[in-house]
Amino acid sequence: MTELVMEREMATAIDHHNGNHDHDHSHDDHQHHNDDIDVFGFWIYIMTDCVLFATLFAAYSVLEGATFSGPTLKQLISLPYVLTETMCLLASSFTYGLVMLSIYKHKRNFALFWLTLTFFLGLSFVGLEVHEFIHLYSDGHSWHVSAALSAFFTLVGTHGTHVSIGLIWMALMICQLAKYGVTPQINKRLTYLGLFWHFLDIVWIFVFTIVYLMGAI
Amino acid sequence: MSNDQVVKLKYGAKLKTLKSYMTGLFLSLLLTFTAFILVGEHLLSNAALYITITALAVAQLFAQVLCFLRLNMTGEGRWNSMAFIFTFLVVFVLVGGSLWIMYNLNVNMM
Amino acid sequence: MIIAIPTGVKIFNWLFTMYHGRVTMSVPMLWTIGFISTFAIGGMTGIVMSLPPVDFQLHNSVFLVAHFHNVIIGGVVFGYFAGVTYWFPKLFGFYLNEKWGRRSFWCWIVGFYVAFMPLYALGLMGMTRRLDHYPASTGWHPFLVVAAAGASIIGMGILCQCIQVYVSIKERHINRDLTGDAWKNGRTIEWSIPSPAPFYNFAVTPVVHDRDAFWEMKEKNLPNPNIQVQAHYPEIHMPHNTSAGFIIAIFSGFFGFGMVWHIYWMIAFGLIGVFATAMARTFNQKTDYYIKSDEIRKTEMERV
Repeated sequence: MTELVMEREMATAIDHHNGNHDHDHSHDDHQHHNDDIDVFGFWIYIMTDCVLFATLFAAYSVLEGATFSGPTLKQLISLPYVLTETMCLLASSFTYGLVMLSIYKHKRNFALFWLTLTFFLGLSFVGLEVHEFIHLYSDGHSWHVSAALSAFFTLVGTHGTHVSIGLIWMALMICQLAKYGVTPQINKRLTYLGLFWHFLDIVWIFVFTIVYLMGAI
Repeated sequence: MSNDQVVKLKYGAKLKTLKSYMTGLFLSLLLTFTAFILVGEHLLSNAALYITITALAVAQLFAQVLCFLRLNMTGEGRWNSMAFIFTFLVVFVLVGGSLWIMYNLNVNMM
Repeated sequence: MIIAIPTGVKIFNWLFTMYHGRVTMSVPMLWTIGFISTFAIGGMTGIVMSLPPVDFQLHNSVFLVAHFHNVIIGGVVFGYFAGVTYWFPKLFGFYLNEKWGRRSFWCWIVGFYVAFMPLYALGLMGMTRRLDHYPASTGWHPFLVVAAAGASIIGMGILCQCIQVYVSIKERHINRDLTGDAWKNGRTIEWSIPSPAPFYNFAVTPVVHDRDAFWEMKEKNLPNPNIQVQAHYPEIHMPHNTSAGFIIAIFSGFFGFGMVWHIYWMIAFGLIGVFATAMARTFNQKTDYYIKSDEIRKTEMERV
């Protein structure tokens, strides 16, 4: 697949010192230079989110044995179910990549298609997870019962909340992309959402490994 | 700002291509299924399982970071990678330290 | 240690900013010295409480109350007043009345110590916080009377500040800051622009080579394009005013209050409000604009 590339030179000399130019060109360079910094700023936010999840993982690892003589997690979960959830999220991370590729080629309708597909895959993930939670709660295995379940619901629930907020954001981006087309602003916003979405899949890798797989050993 | 040109802005990551996404997807699927099958069918001893699935998770982390996020050490990407490495350091101290302390407390007080 | 060591570094930082300088005892400087000294003492009593056996006795006693007021009043309040007095001329174009500023400072600092030092003694004597009554046989009463007197001295300090604001506004035409360099020999670039600051702040973005850029400008006799009117100005990129942030904050307040008291409709109201306002804001395509050269020039000329 060939890609038509035309890179804007990011490092164009930005003349802050000389006060004698006011042609439009300078706004664009300044804006692009800002864009790099803005994305780096969002990346730093993602890193802080990472640290947040790390604290929840630490808490879970410490408390997973404290079941208050209740059932272990192994008895409460189904690995095929978790595999299905994982496939939904992984697929959605991949289809989001296809969104960005379409954006680069200015193919708005393709981007909308992949974005909608990503949304439904993400929605399936959340749906499956909510169903699992409701099931656990109604069977009496709620977060009130033991430290282990508390830690479980907090960790997995926080991840699920992040995914849900990502879905709200995604729905918003579908509207904006449909309304405004492929503009630099939309491109930047989709870049942020992309970082967020890929990051959530990465956290999920560790959730299913540490919580579900290690729980099932 | 003209919208007619195809603009591929790097934003501090390597160029995203279909090839990199397919590679990332393939590797992730492979590593995920391996982990699930190993645990589901209990193909190794307990200790070996813990170590193996951890390694598989870390491998998948790398696969996704390099193929999906396209983190790199060139140009603007260096900043992003530095932030990432720093975060890893913080996480390591936080999680490792917590586990160490709580393990010791558990031994000394229970 | 997590608190004490970095704070120790900061105390030395602040002291060293005065190194090699000629200190003038202006009102901001009074507040600043009051801040550093009072905050340091308050911090030290905090370290006292950080020893577990000591804390076992002193936790939730009025020793604790004295400690945190020591750091909050010494640190936050005095520091805040120093900043307000210092930057007031830059914001509003005239100085706060100095006489009433000094009076309020002395009332505040004397009042603070008279009000809270007795509480340290009382804490050590065993008085807990949040009591609505106590028997005379405890012997606490004389101390608390002294503390009350201290509180009223602080009250006089606040009264002085109210008078200060009133008098300053009334006499603002006499007390204008005419040069922008309000405290004479400002070193940093906020003093290189006029007082009050124009809405775009800097007509021309200054070139900075080193620390204390304005001082460098003065030493090397460089021209100051923010004071001297230029023939031509580069365009300034400005954001439009918006109330979105403020509205989001109000909704967050509802969310937080609802969360504390488990008022579910309020939680939903707050949360939906935050999201809806933020989302609506992202649809706003006209969030910034450019000020053209002649408009800047006109504003600068009007000032002169």
